[in-house]
Amino acid sequence: MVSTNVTFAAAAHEPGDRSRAARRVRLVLIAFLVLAGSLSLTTGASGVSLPQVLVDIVAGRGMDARDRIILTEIRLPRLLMGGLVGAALAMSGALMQGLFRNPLADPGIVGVSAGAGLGAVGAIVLGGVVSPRLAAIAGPHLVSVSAFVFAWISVFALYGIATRAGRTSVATMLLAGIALAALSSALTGLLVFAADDAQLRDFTFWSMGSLSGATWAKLWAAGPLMVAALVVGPSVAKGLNALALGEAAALHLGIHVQRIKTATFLTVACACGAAVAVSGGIGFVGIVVPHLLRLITGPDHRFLLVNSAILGAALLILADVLCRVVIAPAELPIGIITAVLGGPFFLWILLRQRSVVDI
Amino acid sequence: MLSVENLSLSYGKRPVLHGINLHARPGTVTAIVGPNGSGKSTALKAMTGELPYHGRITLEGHDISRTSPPALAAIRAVLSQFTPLSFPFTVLEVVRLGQTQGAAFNCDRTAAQALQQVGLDGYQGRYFQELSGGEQQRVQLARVLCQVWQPVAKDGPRWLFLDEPVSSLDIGHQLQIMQVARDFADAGGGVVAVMHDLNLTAMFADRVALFCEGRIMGFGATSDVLSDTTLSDAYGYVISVGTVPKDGVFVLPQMARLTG
Repeated sequence: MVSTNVTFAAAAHEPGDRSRAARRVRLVLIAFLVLAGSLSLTTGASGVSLPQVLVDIVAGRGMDARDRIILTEIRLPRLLMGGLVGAALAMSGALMQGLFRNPLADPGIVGVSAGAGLGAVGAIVLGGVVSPRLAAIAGPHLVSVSAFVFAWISVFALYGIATRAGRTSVATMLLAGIALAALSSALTGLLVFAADDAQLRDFTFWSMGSLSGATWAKLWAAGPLMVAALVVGPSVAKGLNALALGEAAALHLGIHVQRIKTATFLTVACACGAAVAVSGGIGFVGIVVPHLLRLITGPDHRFLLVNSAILGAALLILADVLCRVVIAPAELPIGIITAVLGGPFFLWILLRQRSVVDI
Repeated sequence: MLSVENLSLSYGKRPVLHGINLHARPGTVTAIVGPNGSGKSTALKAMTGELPYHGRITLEGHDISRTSPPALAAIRAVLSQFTPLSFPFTVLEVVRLGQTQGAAFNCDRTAAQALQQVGLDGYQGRYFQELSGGEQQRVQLARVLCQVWQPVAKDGPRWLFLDEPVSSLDIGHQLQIMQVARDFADAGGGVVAVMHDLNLTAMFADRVALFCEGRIMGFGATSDVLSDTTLSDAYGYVISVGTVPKDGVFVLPQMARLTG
């Protein structure tokens, strides 16, 4: 892996400066994202293909009503949702790793996933008991809302526990996160124990993740939060770079350390809470994507955060395409695809670069 | 001007510093010396705004406890005893972190010159974590120099706060780094350094503050503070201070406990 880095370093105008390489990589990633998006719009169980639609429009035949519905009501919201969720998860991973100064951190560390899981199973199992009418009407939306609310509750409980006298201890957060996640998992287990077969199946599929429920309504509900997080996230880049030298050095470099921690935390809560609520448990994106980019263009968060978002979006869109075609017309849960591809790939990276400096 | 008045500080209920008073002027190197645990580094951390304290500390007229991190970062840089680094940054990237607050000078040239000053010219493309401990410490010093590149800027002098800057270096690099600090002061900047090596202190410092058990035992011109009796009292061993005609003062410890 050294050779890759050296190549990129040498391509820049000064040794050790990888900013130019990072900018080039960003352009490549944007092209990749466009490609993935096009593929997603043109792939699916029905025979609608984008080129055919474009030819029809150009030829003045207009778009077939059925094709239009498939493209605008099914594939487009799904594409946008996939892109936003992928970007949100990948950038959140990079943010958490920067905040915890640990390449293995991911949003799961602050209890987002465990909290959301508890919320989801709670809505699935107890929704009908508490209010059968609401469960009948809101159905899947109730699961999303509940997952989001519980993700936020666990995240802010953790923040409250780790913050004393206006200062947040990252180490406390890490430890308390483990405790809270264990508690959430235990409660989830309790509800799973009480669930009937259908509920169990619903929850199992939720926890494997899927974009199949993507609608414009869901997109309008969760999208703004993710977009806001993606816009705000890069503003902490300089602070996270300085934090790589430790909190004291960051302070000496002029960083408002506590503000950076709070902003990072809020951004991750928004991005991940919304992403997990609408797509369930999608693993590996938050770890693999920033890690891969760090190997290629270095850990500078000014590039890493945005590049991670773009690559995360592209990869999740592609994974979703795979879900749709592998066993068409049925669909695989997307969490399975990201884990099946992400797991071995991550191991391969670790084995290849073992000889190089610490990741 | 650095002014420390009646500085007291406790870790929990354990008092560490008791009413410290000291002053330092730009254009000078002030060394803080004393036995382990005497409160040297703690005092430095208070002066740099890292720890809350009682008393009053001002730097160039700014009250440290009321000045924002960016405003402080603009006038002083700090080198800690040990600075950890997460993630594989290159040497150049680490040095450029010194310019986090976005200084108005040429980034690339400053980083290269700072590396040259600490004897690491040509190390830009190396990974920081591949370097030896001493080299890493010098890279960190280059980063710190980058932060306050001009010893005197339009709005006043800049300050370097160094916590045992040469403790992990060989003797050649110790001299080289202390000369960098000396040059910074000679060009009009202020330097405050926690030191263990009394000979280097004798060579490079203008003034010395001798700490002992959280109090100042002696503060003044280097030749006044570094005396047989004061040093022996502070460290508990017989210490002789002598002079050589050309090179000035040297400090020689002896294997004899101070008695009485």
